[in-house]
Amino acid sequence: MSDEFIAKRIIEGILFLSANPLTIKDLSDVTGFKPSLVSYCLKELVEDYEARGIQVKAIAGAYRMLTNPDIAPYVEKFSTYTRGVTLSRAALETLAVIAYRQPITRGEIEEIRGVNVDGIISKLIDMRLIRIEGRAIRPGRPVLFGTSNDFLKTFGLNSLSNLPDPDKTENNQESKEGRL
Amino acid sequence: MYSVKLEIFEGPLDLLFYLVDKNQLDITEISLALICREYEDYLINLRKLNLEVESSFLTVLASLLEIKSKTLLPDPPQENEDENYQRPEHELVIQLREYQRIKSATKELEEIADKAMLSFPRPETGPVDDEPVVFTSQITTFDLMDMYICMMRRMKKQEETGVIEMQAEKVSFPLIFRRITKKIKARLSTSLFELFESPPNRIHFIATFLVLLEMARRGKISLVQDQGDEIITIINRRRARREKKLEMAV
Repeated sequence: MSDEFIAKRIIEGILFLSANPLTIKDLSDVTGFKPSLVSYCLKELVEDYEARGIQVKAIAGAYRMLTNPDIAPYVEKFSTYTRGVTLSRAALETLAVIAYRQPITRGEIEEIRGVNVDGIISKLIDMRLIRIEGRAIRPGRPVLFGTSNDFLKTFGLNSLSNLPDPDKTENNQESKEGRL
Repeated sequence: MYSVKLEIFEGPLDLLFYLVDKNQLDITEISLALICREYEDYLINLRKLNLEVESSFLTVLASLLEIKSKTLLPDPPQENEDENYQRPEHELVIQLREYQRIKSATKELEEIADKAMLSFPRPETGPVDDEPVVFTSQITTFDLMDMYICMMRRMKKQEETGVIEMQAEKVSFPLIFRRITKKIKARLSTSLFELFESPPNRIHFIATFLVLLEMARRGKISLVQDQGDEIITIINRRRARREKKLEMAV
């Protein structure tokens, strides 16, 4: 058996056992394998499991095993896991503005949405979906908002670069040449 | 008074977007007569809104009229006849287009959120941590404020017992940073109280708080507060990671 093959089996076993998501560093620390090898194995595992009832998925930089969404109707009865995030349309829209334009000030969000977003912002902060990233260096030093790690977890994303590109997937709107 | 918030239209842009979309128009060529009329109809029905909301709707209506009047006027004569000359777009059109992109981004987000909800992880098994701790993200500014007040009170008590020496003091943040680092280095956790030197000094106090917040922000430490107990503990994150590693290896 090749080294990669052995490493892959070991990592698979650890992922199966762990209730928590594991980063490449976690796995490398536990197994003593080089991060590059761990990362290679994880990539393989993600592919191997693609069509199975269980998936290996990277969320917010950490890997874990999850059931495949397509079998949800059958497995959800067994799950005690509650995620319970319900967002209003307005909140979701504000979150989208922040996710795609971060870091962004309150004023800029309001400019895009055309409405006051004070209440929604504090709600999103309470839900830990967004956080204060710092302050813009300009008069008034307005607070800059960005999405949090919990945002990635809630939306099952590995990183912000996994956000779908609204320009590419915009097939329902006939987009004209004059894009901004 | 009973005020109803109409969930359907979140502000003037949302309404305008809806009307443009409904009438299958391109936002760059808004057929204004139609849109303006519908927009106005909606506004009239909303007369009972508060001034701020209504005025924001009116601003957009005014912009629509401005666009309309501009399209009716001939282009100003160009100094250098450029065939590719295009009338600069109105701010509202740009705004609306941006809004349209956000709308579709919202739809995307909704879809991935729905999908994420359909994947289930393993339930947590095994020994549950019996120490209830609240992590950094859950300590609010108010907790820190309470803590600060608590420390000040302590300090006052000590002040009362002794002679107070007044001195002009300079505080060096790097110095305090180094002192904190030194104190927490060897251990996994350190109580907040241990960090303050005696005799207590208000300036050092504030500086130490600021440095701690900065360290937490940079991820060097976590601030943990046992529930019920008001003492904040500083967790050395590097140390915590190392211990976690060991735990996992066992």
